[in-house]
Amino acid sequence: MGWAIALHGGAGDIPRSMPPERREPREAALRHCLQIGVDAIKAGRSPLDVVELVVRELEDNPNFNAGKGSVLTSNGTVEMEACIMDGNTKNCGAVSGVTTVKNAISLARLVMEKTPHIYLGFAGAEAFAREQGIETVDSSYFITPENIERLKQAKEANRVQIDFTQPIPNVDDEASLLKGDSQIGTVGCVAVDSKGNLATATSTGGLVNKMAGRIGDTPIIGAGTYANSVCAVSATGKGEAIIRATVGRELAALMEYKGLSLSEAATHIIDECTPKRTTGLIAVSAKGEVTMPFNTVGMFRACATEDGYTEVGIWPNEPCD
Amino acid sequence: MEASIMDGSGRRCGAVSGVTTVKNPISLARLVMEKSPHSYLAFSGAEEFAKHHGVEMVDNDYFITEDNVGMLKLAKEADSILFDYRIPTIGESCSSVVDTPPLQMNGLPISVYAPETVGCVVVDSQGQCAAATSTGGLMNKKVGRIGDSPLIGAGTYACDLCGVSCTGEGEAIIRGTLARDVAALMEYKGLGLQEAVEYVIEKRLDGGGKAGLIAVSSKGEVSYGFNSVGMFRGCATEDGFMEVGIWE
Repeated sequence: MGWAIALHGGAGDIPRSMPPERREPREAALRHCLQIGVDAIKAGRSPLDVVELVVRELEDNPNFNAGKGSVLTSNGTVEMEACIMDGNTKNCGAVSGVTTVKNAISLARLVMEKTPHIYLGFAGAEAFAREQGIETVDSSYFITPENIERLKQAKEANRVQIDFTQPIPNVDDEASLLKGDSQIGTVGCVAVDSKGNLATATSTGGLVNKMAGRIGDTPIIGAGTYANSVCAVSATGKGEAIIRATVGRELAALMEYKGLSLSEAATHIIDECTPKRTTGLIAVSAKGEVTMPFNTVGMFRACATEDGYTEVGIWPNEPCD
Repeated sequence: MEASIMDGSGRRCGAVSGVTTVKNPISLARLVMEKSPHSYLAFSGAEEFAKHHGVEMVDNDYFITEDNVGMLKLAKEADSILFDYRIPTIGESCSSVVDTPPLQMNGLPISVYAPETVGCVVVDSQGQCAAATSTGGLMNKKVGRIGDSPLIGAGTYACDLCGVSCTGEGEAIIRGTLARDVAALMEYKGLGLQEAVEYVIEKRLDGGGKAGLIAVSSKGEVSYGFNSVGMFRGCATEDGFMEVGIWE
């Protein structure tokens, strides 16, 4: 038993050739966000507070596809979604189609705490945000020049860009947009305190060039996000594959019904239940274990546990220095 | 309105939410599954997609019945969110004295836990399962509220083993990932269909949530379970068994 925390900044075909000027700021952001989480958990904040805090920080960072830095729909707009869940009570909140709320994850938490519902979407979610007085910004706040360029390229290629899991015809890696490091899904955080209380939070801008109105796995309890008294999970990657495999609930069900350990269950999902190059996840157990497997080329990730273990990495088995 | 559909073989799925003019949301959900790169479209995006594919659209008035206008008015006055009301408790009509007199509406007692969603699960003689669920949601719900019906694993799920469709208190069904858990119990705990259905109704609806579900297995079994007062249901199997019921 001990506390543990893990976070991700998306999984996908992150080219190993990513230049240092693009890699380093992201590694630094992962370290920074991890430190914020570790400090908060050491200070005795609840796991629910910790995951919200860390995801807010990831949302505010323009290098990740959530909050500021969200990718654009085919209409050139942002439609963000987020979800938060508390393990002990299984209380949860989710939002989709959010366009002006600075931190979608905090709106998801308000849905959980201040409405009889779990999930609000689009105009209704925006109206609720106004009613609650949560911080809102002009949509232009979220839109970065990089993402305008990404949409342009995706449109030219006439495709929905899904975490670069699909090979791009006529565009080789080096020539591809911005060295292909972004597009990437989602941000998320899972945490457990030394008493075994668990929580999870996930937030995303979705897919580049997605159809307006598209909902992915992130806000769906049991798919992109899930926590109970056994484990907490946040998934990232190709949403449609994660929905189909109900990745979040799957992990908990494998532990509860089949008696697998956290890492066995996570490995099973990544190896057997989801197609190659589609899925990554981070998870912690009530016992304080942590796991971060993925079947994509890479996953921006970081974790720390009470016994002093820390890892920050992008590609397999190659923790950053 | 919202709906979802799932094909057990291949676990393909489609879902829609916030649909206001599509006559049959379930068919739009199927189009999302078959004609879009996505699994789930909502609100104006779903409506646009419907127009693009020439799905039958009707004026919003088409869906609105006089009964439901009256119900909304009463629900607003009571400042409460109501599930649908159409299932009176057994014996209600002949008993004027009950421990807690139920709130009356249009002469019918309101059972707050008698929600109405529609759903269907099917297995063919080759063992292929499918599930579909469609709903108007909760009365007096917040605009934008999404319930369990469009959520794969919550209101709807199908795989190689079974097909499941749920109805009831959406928030409890979402929290309990009810439909997925029927399948997970069969897959990972080796339970039979009926056992799995009973298990989720008993153990997965924490916090007093009321819900019901229908399910079929790839072996051609059919099962249902609910902890609400009743559930409108019907089923038939190849060997000639047929049942239509409301209460236990």
